[in-house]
Amino acid sequence: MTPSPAVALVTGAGSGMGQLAARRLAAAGSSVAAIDVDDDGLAATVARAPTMRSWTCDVSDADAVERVVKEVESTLGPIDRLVHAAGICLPAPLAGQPVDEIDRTIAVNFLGTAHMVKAVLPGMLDRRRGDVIAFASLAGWLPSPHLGAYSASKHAVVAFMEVLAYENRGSGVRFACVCPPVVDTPMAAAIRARDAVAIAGQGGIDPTVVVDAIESSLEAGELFVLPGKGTKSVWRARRFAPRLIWRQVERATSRGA
Amino acid sequence: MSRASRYTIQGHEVTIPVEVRDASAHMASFLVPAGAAQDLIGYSGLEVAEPLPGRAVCSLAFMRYLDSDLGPYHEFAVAFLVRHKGMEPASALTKAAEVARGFLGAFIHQLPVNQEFTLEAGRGIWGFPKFLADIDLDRSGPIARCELRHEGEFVLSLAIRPGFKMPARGSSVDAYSHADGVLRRTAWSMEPAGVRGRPTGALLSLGDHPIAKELRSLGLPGRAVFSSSIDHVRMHFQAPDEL
Repeated sequence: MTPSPAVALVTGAGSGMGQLAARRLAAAGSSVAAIDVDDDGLAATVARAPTMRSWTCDVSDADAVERVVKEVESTLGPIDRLVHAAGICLPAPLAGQPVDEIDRTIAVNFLGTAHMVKAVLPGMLDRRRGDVIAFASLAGWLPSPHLGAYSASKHAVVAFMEVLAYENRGSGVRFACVCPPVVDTPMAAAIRARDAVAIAGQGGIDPTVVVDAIESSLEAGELFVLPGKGTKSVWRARRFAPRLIWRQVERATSRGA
Repeated sequence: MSRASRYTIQGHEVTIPVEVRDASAHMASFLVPAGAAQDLIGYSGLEVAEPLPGRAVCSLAFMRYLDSDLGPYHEFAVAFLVRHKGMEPASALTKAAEVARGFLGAFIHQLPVNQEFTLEAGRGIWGFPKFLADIDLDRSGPIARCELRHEGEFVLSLAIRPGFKMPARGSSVDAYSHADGVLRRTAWSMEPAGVRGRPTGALLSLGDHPIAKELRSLGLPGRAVFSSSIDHVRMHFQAPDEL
């Protein structure tokens, strides 16, 4: 049985999968740095959890990320596990989407990943151990109508993590890139509330399934975590029959019309 | 008996009922010799329930609390099905009928946890037999595993195989606990979701720790009669009645 990491840093810890990952780690006895932009969410996450501390930080701000990581390491000790779950999704058809929404999506989802990894990885490489877990999405493999900006940002995370894992193979650091389908979280609810098309007809999977799958992928040495029934098949289909997805989309939209 | 509605634990106020909004649980139940079980819990003044003449039920459970008034933590429980306090002596047939009707309590005999806040709250509010231990849980594969260590010594490990989907029904149980010579009864309600169960399905390994020796005195490890899992459970704990 793998022991829980001594110190973990979790971003997006104020809600959804970040919150669940932070609570799991705290329950297991890890010291957890819970990071989010949402103070109220963070307060709920760390309530009655003496092994958790919260830091408010916007992951799209590289200087702020570097500052917080230094603070976390001087307060809790060297970070053994990064769970980078912070992300945003602003669904809209691309032609009509304001450019600042696209900028923001890339800044949080992709640059946020780069900032966190750049701040945390050097220490792990020096110590020759650690886990870097970044949330992409199945949308990082499957472009999806009304999720253009989100999907592009997650494709970038997938590419970044694949190269990162390759460049640091044999370093003692383990990498996981989490690519779930729609998960039953506040983010999915917000997407549904804002856009009727983006994830129409897709029920969310239980977030605990995603977090369980991360552990088994880490132990198996698999970079891409594809949780949920049928997710791996969809992923394979996209890689080996890239145009199939659009036929499916076409069929789904014509049925809906 | 007056019951407090709020307690102060480590400077934080805890109000009754104490709420658990999300936890998961895995449990295995064993049929054990009633005499040996009665010897073990005799200190409580309670009498073990007997679903079959001469057999008592010992349940082992591991829980992961994620969102609760007592914080996130892991817990391991050793519990026995008991007859309610004050019930008249009864024949084997009557006792079996009590079990069939579900008119019973759960006596919590051991309750190690891995975090300080819940330790203090559990002991202070309900007199639950909590003590600090290392409780590692592994849900990464289809089989859920728990390893319990106390002061560095291996106590036991319990693995639960996945069961069949079962209806998730809310229930209410009287939990009994005994501390400092006082027996307490706590109303404990549960609303589970994602319940699975099956006959047998548990693998228990015991070390040489006193808790493991206690379980050996019951003839464990052996074959569980039933094992179950709950993906998500909401629970409420009322203030205890001192008996």
